Amino acid sequence: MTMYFPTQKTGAGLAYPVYATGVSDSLTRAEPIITPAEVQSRYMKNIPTKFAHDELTVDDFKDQIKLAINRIELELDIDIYPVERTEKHPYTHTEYINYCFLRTKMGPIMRLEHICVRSANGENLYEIPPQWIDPGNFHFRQINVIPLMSTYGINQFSNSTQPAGLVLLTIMGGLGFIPSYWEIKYTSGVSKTEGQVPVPVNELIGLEAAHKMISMAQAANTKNSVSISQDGLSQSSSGPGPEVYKRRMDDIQDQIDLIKRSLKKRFSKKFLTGFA
Amino acid sequence: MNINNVFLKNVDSYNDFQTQNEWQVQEGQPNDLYFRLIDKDRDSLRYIPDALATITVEFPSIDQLTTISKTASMVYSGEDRSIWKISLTDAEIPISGGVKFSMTEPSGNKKWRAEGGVKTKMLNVGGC
Repeated sequence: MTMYFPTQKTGAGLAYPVYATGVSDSLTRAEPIITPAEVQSRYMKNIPTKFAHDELTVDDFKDQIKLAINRIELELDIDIYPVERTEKHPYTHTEYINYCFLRTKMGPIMRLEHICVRSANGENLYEIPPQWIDPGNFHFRQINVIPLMSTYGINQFSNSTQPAGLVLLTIMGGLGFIPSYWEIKYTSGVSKTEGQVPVPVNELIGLEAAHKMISMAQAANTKNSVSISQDGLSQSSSGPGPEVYKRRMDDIQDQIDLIKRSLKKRFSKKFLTGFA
Repeated sequence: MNINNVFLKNVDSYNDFQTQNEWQVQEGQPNDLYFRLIDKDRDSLRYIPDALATITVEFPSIDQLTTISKTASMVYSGEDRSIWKISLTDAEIPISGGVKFSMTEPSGNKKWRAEGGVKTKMLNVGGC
């Protein structure tokens, strides 16, 4: 378990909406993780949950919500619930001379603990001063080390073996690539308020869960046609059978694809650096 | 034995209450939260713990500073020891949605958790 301190680096303002430093609260953009009752009321109107031999229980809904969250985290490389991570990144000369351009593997970055050069035996050789770390693009998982400030000459070597770090930085200009060099410790998550998630993320969770639940619900509708006859009288009816909710599921799938594309655009960005 | 709980609301007596899927907590006000012990191995029948039992309810968080731990109390110790209660002050806001229970009885300890066991309605909803 982590204990956070105010000295650690966070982006200005909110995690969502991105770039926001103030909101009016007149529109709900963040809410708790969707509940089973909300999945039903938002996406499963007129879909039965009780059948002749089975039923979809609250535990089934909770299970599908949990599965949906895990699936979305895996697919979009975002953490819906906050996760603290420690990653090792390579040194590449191109990125180094471009203000140490770094991208974390998961995001959005909610809070950065440190960037340091850590040796293979676990020794902290040099820690980037937090004042140099620009949090402006944390929501894109992007970290820039920009030592441009009025106190340009400031040095802060907390928890680091200072001379070793300085020597290492000095020789960097002559090296092209070191496969495991920077250590980035950070917490990723879509929200700075734990437990609250952006409404579009919640919508995606709900849609994913509803899609699975409706799929199970339509499996109960096994017959395409039924006919009864007795003494010359007969009655027959036909229907879509196990594809009874196919249209609804297709609609939901379209919405899922749309929201996923939007979230990828909001929380991820392809960015290349190179020589001009 | 598979001890778990159901979440209760509108608890007026040990014969008069309703169940709910999760606790509903409103930020900015004190909240009394009730639960009933059940044994899932016995078709979710109520579980009557030992009279000396104690229960701790924890609302976890990734941040140690916002983790909440409360000691629950029996509501009807004479009539029905399966119903328990915790009281949150207006400053105590469960944030992660998860709930962990830990019960100590003379016969041994039991622990369980409820994912999505509490829904906290925040006052600031314009962003997160």
